[in-house]
Amino acid sequence: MHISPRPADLPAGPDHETVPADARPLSRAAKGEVGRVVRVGLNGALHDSLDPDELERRLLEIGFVEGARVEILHEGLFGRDPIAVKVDDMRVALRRREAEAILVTRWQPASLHAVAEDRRS
Amino acid sequence: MIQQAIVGVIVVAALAWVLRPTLRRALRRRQVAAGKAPGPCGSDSCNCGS
Amino acid sequence: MNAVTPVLQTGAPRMALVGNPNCGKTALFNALTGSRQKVANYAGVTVERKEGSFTTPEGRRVQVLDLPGTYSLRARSPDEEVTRDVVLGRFKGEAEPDLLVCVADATNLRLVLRLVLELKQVGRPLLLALNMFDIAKHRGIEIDVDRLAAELGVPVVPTVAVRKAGTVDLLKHIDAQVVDLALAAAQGVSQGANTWHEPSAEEVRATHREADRIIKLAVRPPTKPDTWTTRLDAVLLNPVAGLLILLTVLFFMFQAVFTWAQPAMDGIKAGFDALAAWVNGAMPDGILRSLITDGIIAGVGSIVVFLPQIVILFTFIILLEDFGYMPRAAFLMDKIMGGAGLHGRAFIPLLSSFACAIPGIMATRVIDNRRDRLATIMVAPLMTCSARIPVYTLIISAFVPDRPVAGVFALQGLVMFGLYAAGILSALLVAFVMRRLVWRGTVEPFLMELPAYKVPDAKNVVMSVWTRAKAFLQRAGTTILSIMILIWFLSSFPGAPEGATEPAIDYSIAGMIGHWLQPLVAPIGFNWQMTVALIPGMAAREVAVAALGTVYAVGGGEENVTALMDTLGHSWSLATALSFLAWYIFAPQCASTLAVVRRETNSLKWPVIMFVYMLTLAYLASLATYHVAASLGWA
Repeated sequence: MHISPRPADLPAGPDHETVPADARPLSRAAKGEVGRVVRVGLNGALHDSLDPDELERRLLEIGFVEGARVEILHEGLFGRDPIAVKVDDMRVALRRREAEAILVTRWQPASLHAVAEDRRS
Repeated sequence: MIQQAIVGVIVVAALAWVLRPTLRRALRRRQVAAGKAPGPCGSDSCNCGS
Repeated sequence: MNAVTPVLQTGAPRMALVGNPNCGKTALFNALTGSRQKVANYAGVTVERKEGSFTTPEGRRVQVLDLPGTYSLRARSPDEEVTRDVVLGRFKGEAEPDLLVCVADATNLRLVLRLVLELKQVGRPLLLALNMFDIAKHRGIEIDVDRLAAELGVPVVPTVAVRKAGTVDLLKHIDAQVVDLALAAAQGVSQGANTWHEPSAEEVRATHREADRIIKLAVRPPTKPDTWTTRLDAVLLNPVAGLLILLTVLFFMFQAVFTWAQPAMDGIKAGFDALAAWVNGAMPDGILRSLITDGIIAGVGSIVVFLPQIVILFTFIILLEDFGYMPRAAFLMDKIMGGAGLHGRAFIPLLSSFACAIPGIMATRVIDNRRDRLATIMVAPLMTCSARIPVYTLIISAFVPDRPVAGVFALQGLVMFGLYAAGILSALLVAFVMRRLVWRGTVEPFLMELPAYKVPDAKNVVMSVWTRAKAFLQRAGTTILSIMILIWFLSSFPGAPEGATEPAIDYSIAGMIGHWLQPLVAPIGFNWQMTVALIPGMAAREVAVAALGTVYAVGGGEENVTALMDTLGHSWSLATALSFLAWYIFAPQCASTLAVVRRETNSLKWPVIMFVYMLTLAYLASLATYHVAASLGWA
């Protein structure tokens, strides 16, 4: 099931992909939240740690891929950073700074079957 | 006298062991210079890889 | 014997183990090779090249390389570059592997299947070993091995590295593969073409999709998911409890090193004393007897006595590593380390540095960013390595009264903990200055997998600890033995002239050097005997203890190691002892560390900077300690 986004809410990314209206960066999620990854990468925006393309590939390689189920398991003591995230069936630790490059939407179990189609081609 | 000789041999052997890396490097440099051994990777006399 | 084929002619076929980090690759390597492995002299995680060999059931000898773990051939750190270059056959001075074995954690297949798809592009014979197959089965994960093999186009073999029969299938497959290789080579068939290139983000997504498709076809998800890891993490990663537990673990570790080792150490000490006494009785007086008892037995004995402490420390580190706690510790420490400008990953190299700075510095290869890595390398030697334990133990036992504090802690243990804490704090401070004041700039991402907890395999732990203990004993038997002999020589010759009033060592070469350097170290409260001991201490920190033993035993005519503590207690003031401890926190007293820094940074600049800054800190710290202690009336 899909929420059809209003055109005004579309991010001005170069490839104009469709991102659900409630999508927000994983970096803003709190402990216990469950979501589905809708976009990985910054769409060309600059990041203060790495080249955006390099960051995107690293996130992909460790399992943050469009359609993956993510759940915030734990937070660090200071500034609630870094975060431990369950990505599908494995656990990954990362800083919120890098989690900014991962857009997530609320997890809807019913959309499970749609996951495969959702993954960017 | 025999005792002194034994002690001398042991001390020299110990010194040689401690200086082993230095001695080996010096020997190798000499061989490389004489063209008898390949030099370190990347140097002119290196013959590793293709 | 079969017909001789080119592959077998050129020596044993070479096999390389590749896989994600934490997939049990090293356990499989240990299971295959047993004791037939050449591990680097250093301890630590899989950063150095490990090679071994084994014989297959059909009697073929196979060489195995254990490559550093990686998620992709797209290398991001020097560590992963090794893996990439060996796999691609580009590594200089390394023969191309004839067979790649990709090791997978059967309970966590998603990422490794992507790696397999990448490895396939290399065009080398490839085999997938599904390790920890028993755990997967236990959790109700059903893997259709044949289907998996068919979809991947790669032979798949289940393995259980920790069980004896767990590698039988793998060995059978290797036998079959080697025959194929030999036949192919005999017929002049060339290997598949290498079509690997660095994948783009889109290609990574594409291989992910392919891996997902295969998983859906061949793997049924667990019926009994791993609830243990979730439950343990709820406590161990809890922001407050987790940090408290981490500190407790570290504190417990140091108390254990100090107290549990005592009985064994007493035993070893007594053994060496008895040996010296026996030699004294069996040999006539002379320089040879002096060499054997004062030089060799006293010298080597005072080092070997620390074996129990080193074994205990390594047992703790290896247990935590195998249990899967280390990445959690990095997670908990990331913000604190980050405050000092270090990367959370620097925690593992720095923790290894408690054993020895050399493996610690080598383990910094897991840090991708050059500046992060250099900062970690520069502070690693400030971590209290095991070679300092002998020095600390000696001084603490001689000067700190053995009495309980608050009923639970030993005062000596607390002082030891304080010395460790001083090392850690100064390391964080130096890192802060380097990373926040000298090099400001980009921050490396912190991104690491938190593997499922595993009960450490006893056999594996014992083997790892034994490797380290062996390396330590080998050092004691060769380098340290040689240095002890030389020190004995320097402190015995030339002998005292007729009718001399001073102890004999005053007239020796060592005495001359000590006296000559004395004015330089007088302000920090060192006497010339200490200066003499510090010179050979450059070769290895712990040698200073043995050197003190030799200097005082020869000078004072005492013949056994146990008396050293009493001797020091009488001839040093408390201020001098504390100054010596302060010196040892910082002093760059280890030539091998400097040599490793030179090798790892590939420049002379960094070891020189390290030497100068550590020497300056050591001198200043000793100066301050001595004068504060003296003003308190402890001189």
